[in-house]
Amino acid sequence: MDNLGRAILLSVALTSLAHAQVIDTSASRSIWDAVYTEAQAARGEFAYEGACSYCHGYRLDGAADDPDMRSSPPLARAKFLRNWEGRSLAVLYELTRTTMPEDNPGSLSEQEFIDVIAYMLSVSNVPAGEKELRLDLESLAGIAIQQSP
Amino acid sequence: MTNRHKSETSGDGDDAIDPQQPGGLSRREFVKKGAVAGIGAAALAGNDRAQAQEPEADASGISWDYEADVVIAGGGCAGLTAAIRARDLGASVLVVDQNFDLGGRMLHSAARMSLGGGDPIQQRDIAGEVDAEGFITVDPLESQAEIEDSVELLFKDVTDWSIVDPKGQSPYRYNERELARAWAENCPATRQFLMDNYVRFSRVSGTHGGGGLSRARLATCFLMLGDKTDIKAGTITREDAGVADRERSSAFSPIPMGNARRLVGPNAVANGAALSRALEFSAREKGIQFILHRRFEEIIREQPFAGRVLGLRAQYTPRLHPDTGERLESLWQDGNIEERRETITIRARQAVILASGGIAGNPEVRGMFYPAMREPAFPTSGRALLGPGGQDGSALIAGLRIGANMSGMQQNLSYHTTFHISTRLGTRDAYTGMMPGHPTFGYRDSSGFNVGLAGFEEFIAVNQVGKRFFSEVRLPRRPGPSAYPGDGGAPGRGLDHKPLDWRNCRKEWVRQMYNYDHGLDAALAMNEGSEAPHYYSGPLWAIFDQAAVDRNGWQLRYPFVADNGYYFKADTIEELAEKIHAGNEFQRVPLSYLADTVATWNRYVDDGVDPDFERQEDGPMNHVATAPFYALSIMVIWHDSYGGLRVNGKQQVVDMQGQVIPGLYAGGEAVGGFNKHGLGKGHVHGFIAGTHVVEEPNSA
Repeated sequence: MDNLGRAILLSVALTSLAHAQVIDTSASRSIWDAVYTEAQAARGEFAYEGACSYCHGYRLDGAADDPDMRSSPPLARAKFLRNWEGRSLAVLYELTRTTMPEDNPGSLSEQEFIDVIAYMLSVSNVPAGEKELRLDLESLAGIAIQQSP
Repeated sequence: MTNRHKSETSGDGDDAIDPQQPGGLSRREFVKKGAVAGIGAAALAGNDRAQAQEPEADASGISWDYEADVVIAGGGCAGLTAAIRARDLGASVLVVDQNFDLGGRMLHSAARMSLGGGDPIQQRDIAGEVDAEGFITVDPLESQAEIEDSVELLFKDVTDWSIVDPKGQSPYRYNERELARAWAENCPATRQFLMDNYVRFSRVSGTHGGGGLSRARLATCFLMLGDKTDIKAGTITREDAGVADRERSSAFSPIPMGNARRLVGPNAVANGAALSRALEFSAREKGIQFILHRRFEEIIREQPFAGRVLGLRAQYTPRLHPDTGERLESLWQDGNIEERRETITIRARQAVILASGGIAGNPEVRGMFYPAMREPAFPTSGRALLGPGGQDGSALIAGLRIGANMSGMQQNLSYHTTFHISTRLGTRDAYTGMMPGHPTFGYRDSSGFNVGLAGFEEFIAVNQVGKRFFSEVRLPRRPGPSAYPGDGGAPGRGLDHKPLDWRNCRKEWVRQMYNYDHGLDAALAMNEGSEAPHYYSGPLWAIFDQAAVDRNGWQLRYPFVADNGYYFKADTIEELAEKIHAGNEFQRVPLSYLADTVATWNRYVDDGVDPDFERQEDGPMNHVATAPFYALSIMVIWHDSYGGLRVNGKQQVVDMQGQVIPGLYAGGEAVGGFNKHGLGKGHVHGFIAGTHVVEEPNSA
C-alpha cells in the first residue's frame, strides 16, 4: 500500500476510533476563516524543511528532494485539499503527529506539528489571520478542510 | 583545501601529510615504508617527476609510462575507498578516472549508506551516544532493538531465499554467497574506516534497498553549515552546500545538499558531497595520485587468457565545457598528474582494481537485459556529471577480453528500480537535481521540473507518434525497496519480520502484496514510429495546457526548463508537435497523432470516462484546451547496475574456469552477484579489495 493509501486508511480509522469524539463533522469553521498566522507558518516552514521536505519535497508537492526516494503525497495546494476535503484539522494533526516522519513518528514537538500545518495552509494559498492555530484538538476539530472558501 | 589551489596542509613538502591522522603517512614515512615493501623511487615521484619519467620496458616488452603498486580504474565510491585502504597499508596508488573530477556517482548520491552487522554507528546509536565531534544533537531515531545487529544476521538477510519484492522478484536469493559473506564481515570495519577518513554519519534510520529486512542499518553522511568549507573541521559554507540559493549548486556539490536536521540536528546538511569530498580530501592528503580525463580501455595481461595482470592502457578523454570548449578541471588539484598523451600504459606492480562502474550508460550492453532499453534516448543517472564515459561498461568489456567470468547478470532485473520513469520532467538528465553552479550543468542545460507522482494527473503522456499509452497516474509509480522496516514485500514489518520464512513468499501472500504498475514497459513498447532493425520506442512527452500551469503554480522557466530540446511551448497542438519533431534529437518521426489524441482526450474529460486506460479510476481528468500548450520530456532512467564481473570474497576477479585472474580485483557496480543498492556495496568492496591487493607479490 502506498503512503497515500496508508494515510487515508489511517485517517478513516482515526475517524471511527479513539478520536471520534473530537471529529465534529459539522465543523463550525473552515480553513478559509483565517485560522493561522504568517509568523506561525514561518515557524512551520523551518520545521518542515528539517523533517518533511526529504520525502514531500521543498515545494510540498510530493516530489522527494532525494531522487532515490519515492514520491510522497502532496502536502499543499489543490491536490492536498482535494484529498482531505471534508475532514477536520484534528484528523490531519493526529495523523501527522502519530505517523510522521515515517522513520521516527512523533519526533517533532506537538507545537511543531501544528506549525507545519499552518505552513501547509500558507503554501496552499489559504489566507492567514491574526490568531494562531491552537494546539487544542477540540478547536482543531471545528475547522474543516475545504477545497475553496 | 581551497578550490583549485594546493592546500596549505597537503602541498609538496616532505611532511605534507599530517602524521597525526589515523592511517596517515607522511611522505618521509611513506618512503620508508615503501622501501620496506619494495617500492621503487619512480613510483613515489611527484607530479613533475612522474611526467618526466622515461618509458621503461619490462620482461613483457611493454613500455610503461607510469607505474605504481596498485592501479585503480575509477575514482568513485569503490575506487577511492580501495585507494585509501591500500595506501594506508603501504602501497603506492595511482587512480585513473574518465571524468574531470573525482567521486563518480557517489558525488551526486544522497549519501545514504546501509552497512550493519553491528557497525560502529549502530553501536553508537544503541548506546545513545553522539558523535565524537558533538555535531549530532538529536536522539537516536530507531529503538535499540531495531539496531541490534550481527554479521550473522546481516549475512542471513542478504542471502535470504524467501524474500520476494512487490515486483514479484527476488532481491537476495541469487546473491553470491562468498561475496555476501565477505561483505557482511567487512561492513563494521568499513564504517570505521570511513569515519577515520573524515566521513561523518548521522543517526541510523531504516535500510537502503538490498540491505536486508531485519534491522535498521542506514546512516547518512553530513557536514555542518559554517563560515568556511573545511573537511577537517566538518563544516561547509552555505554557497558550497547549495543552500544559499535553491536554484544554484556548486562545484563542491553538484546537487544542493539536503537539510539533515531530523537526522543530525540544526545546521546539518547531507548528500553525496559530504561523503565523496571527505574521502577525496583524505586520499589527496595521503599522497594518492590521480590521472583524470582518462578512460581505461584495456587490461594488459601476460597472455591473452593466462598469466598475471600487468597493468592498464588508458585513453585521453578530456571533458570540455559544452559552450567554451575549455577543459573542465577538478575542484581540488593535489596529487593530479597532468598527462595529455592520447594513450598511456600504467604498470601495476601488485594489482589492478576495476572500480569504473556499471553498464547503465551503455545502451548496447544494457540491451542484453532489456532489449527495449537499447533506445539511446534514455540515459543513465548522472549523464551530465559523468559524461559519455560514465557507466559505459568499461570494466565488464575489458574483463571479458581477458577471460573474466560474469555474475548475477539477471540481477539487473531483480532490483525494483534498476530502471524507472522519473518524475523530473523537461531534461534528459532527469535523475538528479543538479543546478547551475556545477561545471557540468551545461551538459544538461535545464535542471528539469520535478512534479512528483501527483503531477502526473495534470497532463497526458504520449509516445513518439503522439499517442497515449498508459494511465498517466500509474506511469511513474515504483514499487517499494526491499528494506527495513518493511514495504519490501515480506509480510512482517520491522521487528516482526522473520528471515528465511517460507511464508514470506507464499503465493497467496505474493498475490496480495504484488504492487507493480507496468507503465515503464508500456512506455518502451513498439509503436507506429518504431522502425527496423531496432524498433526504438522513442521519446515520451507530457502534454498540457496553460490551465495546468496555473492550477499547479508550475514555474516553467530557467533553470528548470530551457530551450534544449526537452521543453516546448506553442499556441496550437499542431505547432507543438512540429516543434518537438524539429527540436528533439531523438524524435525520429512526427507526432502525427497528437492533435487527434488531444481532441479524443478532451472528449473523454467531457464524458468523465477514459475507455482506453480508465484514468477516471486513478485521478481527476483535466482538459488540454487552454493555449498556450506545453510539452516536457518524460525520461526513462537506467538507475544503476547489478550484473557484472564475477569476483570472490577478496574481490579477486574469477575467470570462466573458476580460477582467480592473478593481479585483478574489482568492486562496486563493476561486479555482479550482489543485489545491494548504492554506496553500501561499493565502499565495502573497495575496502576489501584495498585490504587484499597489498598481499599480492610485488613485481618491482
